[in-house]
Amino acid sequence: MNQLQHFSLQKTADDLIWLTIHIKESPRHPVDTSVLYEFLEIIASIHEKKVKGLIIQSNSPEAFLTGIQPETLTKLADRTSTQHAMGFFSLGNKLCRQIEKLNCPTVAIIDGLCSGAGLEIALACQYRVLTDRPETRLIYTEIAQGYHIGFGSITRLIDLQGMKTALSFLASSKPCPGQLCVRQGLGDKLVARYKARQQAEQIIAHIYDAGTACKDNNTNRLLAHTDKNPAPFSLDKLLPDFLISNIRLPQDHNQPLSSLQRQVLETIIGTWKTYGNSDDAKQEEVTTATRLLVAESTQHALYLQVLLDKQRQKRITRSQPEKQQPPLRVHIMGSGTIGRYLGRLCAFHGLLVSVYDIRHNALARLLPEARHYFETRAPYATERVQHALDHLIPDIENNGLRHADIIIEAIQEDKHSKASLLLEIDRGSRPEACILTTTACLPLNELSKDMLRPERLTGINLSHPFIDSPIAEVIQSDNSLSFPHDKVTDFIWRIGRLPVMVQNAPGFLSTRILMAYLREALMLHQAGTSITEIDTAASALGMTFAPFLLLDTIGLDECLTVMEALADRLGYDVPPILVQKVEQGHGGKNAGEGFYKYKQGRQQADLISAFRPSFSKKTDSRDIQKNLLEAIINEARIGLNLGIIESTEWVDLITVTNIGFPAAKGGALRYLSGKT
Amino acid sequence: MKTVYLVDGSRTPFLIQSEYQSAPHHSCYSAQELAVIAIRHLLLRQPFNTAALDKVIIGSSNYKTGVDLAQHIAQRLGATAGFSQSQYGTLAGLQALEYGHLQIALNQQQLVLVAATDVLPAQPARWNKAMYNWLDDYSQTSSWSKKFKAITRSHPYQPRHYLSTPTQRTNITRYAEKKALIYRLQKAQMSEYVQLSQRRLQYAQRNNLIASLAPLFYEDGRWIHRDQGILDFSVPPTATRDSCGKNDNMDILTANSLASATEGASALLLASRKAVKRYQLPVLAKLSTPQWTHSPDNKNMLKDPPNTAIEHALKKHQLSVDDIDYWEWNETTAVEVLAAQQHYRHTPPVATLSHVNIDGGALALGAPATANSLRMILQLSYILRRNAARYGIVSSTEPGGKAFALLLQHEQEAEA
Repeated sequence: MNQLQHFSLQKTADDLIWLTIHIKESPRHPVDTSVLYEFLEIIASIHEKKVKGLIIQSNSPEAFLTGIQPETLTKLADRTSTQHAMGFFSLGNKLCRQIEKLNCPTVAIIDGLCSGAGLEIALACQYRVLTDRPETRLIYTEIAQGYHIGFGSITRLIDLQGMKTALSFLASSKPCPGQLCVRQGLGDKLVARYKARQQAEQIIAHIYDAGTACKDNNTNRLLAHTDKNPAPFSLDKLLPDFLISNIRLPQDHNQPLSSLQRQVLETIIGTWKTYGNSDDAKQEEVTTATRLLVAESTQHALYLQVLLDKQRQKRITRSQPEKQQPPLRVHIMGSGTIGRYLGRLCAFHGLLVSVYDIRHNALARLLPEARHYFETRAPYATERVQHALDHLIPDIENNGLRHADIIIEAIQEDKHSKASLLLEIDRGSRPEACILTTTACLPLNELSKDMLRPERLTGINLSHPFIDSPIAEVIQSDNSLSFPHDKVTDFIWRIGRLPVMVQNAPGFLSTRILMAYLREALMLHQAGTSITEIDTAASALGMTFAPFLLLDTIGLDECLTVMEALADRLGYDVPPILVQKVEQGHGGKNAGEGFYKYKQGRQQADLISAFRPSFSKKTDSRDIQKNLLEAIINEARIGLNLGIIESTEWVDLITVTNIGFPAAKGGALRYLSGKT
Repeated sequence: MKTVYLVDGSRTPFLIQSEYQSAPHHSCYSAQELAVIAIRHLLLRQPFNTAALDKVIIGSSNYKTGVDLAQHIAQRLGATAGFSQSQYGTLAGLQALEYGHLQIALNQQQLVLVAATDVLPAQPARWNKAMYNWLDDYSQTSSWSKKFKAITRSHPYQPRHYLSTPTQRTNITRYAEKKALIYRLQKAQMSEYVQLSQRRLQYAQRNNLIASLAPLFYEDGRWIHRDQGILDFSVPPTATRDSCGKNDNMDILTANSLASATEGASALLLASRKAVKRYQLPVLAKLSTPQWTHSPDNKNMLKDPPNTAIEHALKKHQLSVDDIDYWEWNETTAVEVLAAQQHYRHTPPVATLSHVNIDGGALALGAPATANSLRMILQLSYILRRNAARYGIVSSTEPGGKAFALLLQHEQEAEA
């Protein structure tokens, strides 16, 4: 055997082979062609020998094996020749098949992230032992980008879990933590990290115990006689033929499937229907994977993903490793929607936050929302949730101002109150503290006029908590070029967001485009088209957020305030229907009625008006879509021309993450350049 | 021996036992969580991070054995750089304070956090005798009309009294009755003092004179930012207590003259001179060494002072009773304060009660067994600061003869 770069083998006295992965490119263990070649060689050499068991583990605590690196991906996804992609996938497919065919049991110890190609390889092993750290998670990220890795393991997954559970696992965008994996059958055992090796040895020892090993007829695996059936019993694993035609995609009202996810899942269902769970299905995965990878929508999604990864790389090369960062104290003044959202974010990422407000009832809403947020983001991670809640302090006396490192002002969008609050902050805080303000459209120079040290002020615009975008816009006032803004960007990285520098224009970029989109929808509705038609047209187009649903969720009065503030500065009119609705008291989801009716947070179907003859104009949905797209693209171009943001790529990213432009079309400007 | 400075303190509002005992955890807080809330409210005002704390000392009177309270709290706050220590028992608050004091005075620690937290144990039924009587009657009714009549006569819930087990209760009441007999105290005096305490507390609440209170926000949207008053004014002031039961005519103590048990936590931050200089901390007061005495068979209650430890404290600093500006007497029963009034009748501030417990005491507030002592120290230091006074004494006695006294010294802003 040649010198191994990425693996190391060790054979122990009781004929067990330990295979340790230490891919030298990065501790996140991306899977590459060289990795696959080496792996194949190793498996081929094990085939010949007489071996009791194979245990695969990873050297890095961060990851077991993850997906493909962005550079390799761009090479593979070359549209002109599908050769690269086909070659890569068939290589991996062969590897997984060889692992399956080994006549000794195989155990994979998964400690850390296991995603994409790595997940497929892990599924090819017979058993999986997961560690109980919160970093151990299984996720199939490639589905959200519109393709799957054709190593054949999706068939194995469906075999293991049943179609319904498998589809919902593949469609979920959140990583699956250890406990949930074991419960769903993805993993077999969940142990503490220091016990993982022992557990793997025990599994193999049980199989050979007293020679009573038996074979499980369904999966052709060796089962220990003390083992229960590893996968839980589920009715839909016994899917008889007449149910196959009724397989439905998983529905989630909070997060409907994007077109990219839908295309992958439908392909998977198609393969299953044709081939079942035979070996042909696994071979077919190579072809479907290649086809999906070179599809146009996937290309666009990959382009965006590569951009995001490139920006994230910049952080890793520049700043210090995470463990050495000093504890930061953040003080947030104003406990409204944005103030509370920022508080949750900071606490979740380990910073000490105090949120100040003069009203008790605004602060009272802080903790219930925070607990719900933490428990949905980090299920089963009770220590992390408790740590976050301990570090989120509701402060009614403004005690946190004096010693805070970062002070964020998040009160109502009113120039005078913001200016006076900034004065107060300026006088009461430490000289080295950074001051951030969350204004959407007020110019920073006017706000910082009377401050002693106006260069400390920076503006930050996170999107609304419902949109939850990974990008945060940062603007500096003109005279703050001397003050180091590294602290602000570091802070934004620490709360898990990507900072982008934006010029001091009203509405920055994302609010501006968002308001243009909503304005266009309101104008269409005013001209006679019904709300449901506009929303269905927008969803058919692929927009992540339908305009009227988004309006209702953000809150009509908030939207009105922002629109009015922008209208003065950008020179357009606020649509009268929005003013009318707010005056009538329809505030949105929280108020029970906005453009739609809500009861306990859920949208009520308007059955009566479905039967009533509608007096709305019958507009062709293509016209609606054209209008909406034009509004977004025009505003994006204006933004770029005015120099608000530095490059087209950022515009693309922002339209997709903040506005909901379909990722399958690239961003707004890429779509435009594709059209012309 | 190094000087020990009291830098700051904080406490949670003292709560009647939460009615949501069986509700999910987000409707009420445990002892550990109350302590964490009080401590982080205190630490938010300090310029240093929690990692700079040298020791974390927690006292609690009843906590599940086998769980180290201080270690858990220190871990949650991130104060694991130093050592943490728990004290258990009814005097745990004062013990914790003494331990903290010694750490700075003798053991060269710089920053010590002392906290005390108490939660009433969960009780399956918290009814008083009247409720049990009513339940008896109700179970004996046979017809629907009689049941309906019984329901219309149902009694309201009344708060629990100071200690849970009857023997402890009768210990305190026995001791208090003995004292009341010896000092010849009347029911009217006791009820009047209780009302005085209540009035002072309400005045202090209205005028924001209460030492730093950390508001409690619950995860079901409620919040509590004031001490919940526990006095029951539906009972006439001179009505006697129901505790001894046998000789109602001979009862000497009035209904409210025993402090009720409540839930809460309080925390104090102690620092050495070096730490004060290093972090430029504003100092509330200087603490002297806590004094303890123990006289188990106090046969001569009339002649001996109500708190023998005070004499020791005064002697140590060469002061007399007239030099003390403000006093905080632990109001376990009204009898103690009235006994002190009689004993120190030659000292006007005490005799007229004008400088004793001026912001209300345990009779009005209720008292978690351990957190009350730290509360008294904190409140007294705030009183000294706002009245620009020099000396104050915190005094506490336990039935069975234990006495505790602590002298607080407030500098008149010599160093700006």
